[in-house]
Amino acid sequence: MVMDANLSVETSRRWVLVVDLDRCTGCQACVVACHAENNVPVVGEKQAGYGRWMHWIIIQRYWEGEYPNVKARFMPVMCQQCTEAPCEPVCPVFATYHNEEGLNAQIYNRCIGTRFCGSACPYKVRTYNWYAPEFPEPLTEQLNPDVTVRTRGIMEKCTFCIQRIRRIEIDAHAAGRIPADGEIQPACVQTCPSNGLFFGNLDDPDSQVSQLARGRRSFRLLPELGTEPGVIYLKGGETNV
Amino acid sequence: MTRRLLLFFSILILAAVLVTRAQVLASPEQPVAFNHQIHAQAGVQCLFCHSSALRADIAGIPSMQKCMGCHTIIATDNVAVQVLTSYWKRKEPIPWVRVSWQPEFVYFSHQAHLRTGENCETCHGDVGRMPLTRPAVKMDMGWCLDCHLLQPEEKVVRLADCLTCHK
Repeated sequence: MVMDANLSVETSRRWVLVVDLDRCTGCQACVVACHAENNVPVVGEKQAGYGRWMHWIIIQRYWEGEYPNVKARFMPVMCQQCTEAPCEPVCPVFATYHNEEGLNAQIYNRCIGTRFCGSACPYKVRTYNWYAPEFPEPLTEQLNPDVTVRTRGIMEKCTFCIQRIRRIEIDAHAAGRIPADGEIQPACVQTCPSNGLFFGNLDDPDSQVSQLARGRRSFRLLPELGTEPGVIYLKGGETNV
Repeated sequence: MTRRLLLFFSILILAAVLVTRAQVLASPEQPVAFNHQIHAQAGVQCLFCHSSALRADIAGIPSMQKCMGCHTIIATDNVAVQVLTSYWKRKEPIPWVRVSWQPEFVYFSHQAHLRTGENCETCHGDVGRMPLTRPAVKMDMGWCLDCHLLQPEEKVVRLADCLTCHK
């Protein structure tokens, strides 16, 4: 049909996630939501001790100030979807690559598990399936059919919930419109109880994320590396978490 | 001697390829001898039974209720219909065997394809003339791309993107 001639498929998009650190309470609801949405396995205490946890989002904790005026600050770190991603050129089989929407993609069935990408990643957000994932009953009943259950021996990481982006786009397209700003919500954004996460298109100057990214509080993680991340952090004010 | 060995192995490989292909394109054995041809000849549209295809990822298998909506009256003396009715009376679902399938790392949406004006027959073959449903083509990635790469240039960028179909 002709109706999609000028619609979303051809408009330029750069998906970004904005994380407001002043609002983050470190509750880990985003981590739980991510596990449920993306079929992320849990490896258990012992394996996590070896650094083999599978969380796609890691809540890093920092202590600020001197005793007794100590504050905890939290920083959710997920795949930064770098524009110049260090993980991409090292993959020998092109399982990870950059797509037109600025997403750093991981194609699971192509991955052979060299773990070069994990070594190259400066943010250490790629996780490796050391073992076949185990979902004890009845958890198998809640696996998301829109996401592959990854097998042993491959790398995985945050995808910005590509399955949700795709779903909303197909539905919007069918209705003959482009997805509205804020309509696409990754699981973490939808869940965040303090509304500290925002998702949207940076190429649209009027979108909420564009406005937040232009703000005084915005910064990106390890900017000196020149990776130009697609995750934008906001930090400025004092918090009393 | 070497030549004969070579010939032997080429024939072996050729036979293996042909057998595999025949297996892939064979019609699986179904619990009920459902005949698409009869239904199509009776004028039943694809979307009457596979009604989700226009608005969802999956086309859907019709419910027993939909089958029995007609078959409490129509063709009740047919053997296959009697098998269907026996399932209905036992209140058991029919364990259909999937004919066309994609591996679990592939995302496919019927909705997105039908919207662009594709017909069911483009991928599923002339099901309306198949007494026993069988896959018309081997639905592998090369076959998907055969079509995706022929689309208008501005769409190919997206249609050839791995993330469009891989999940």
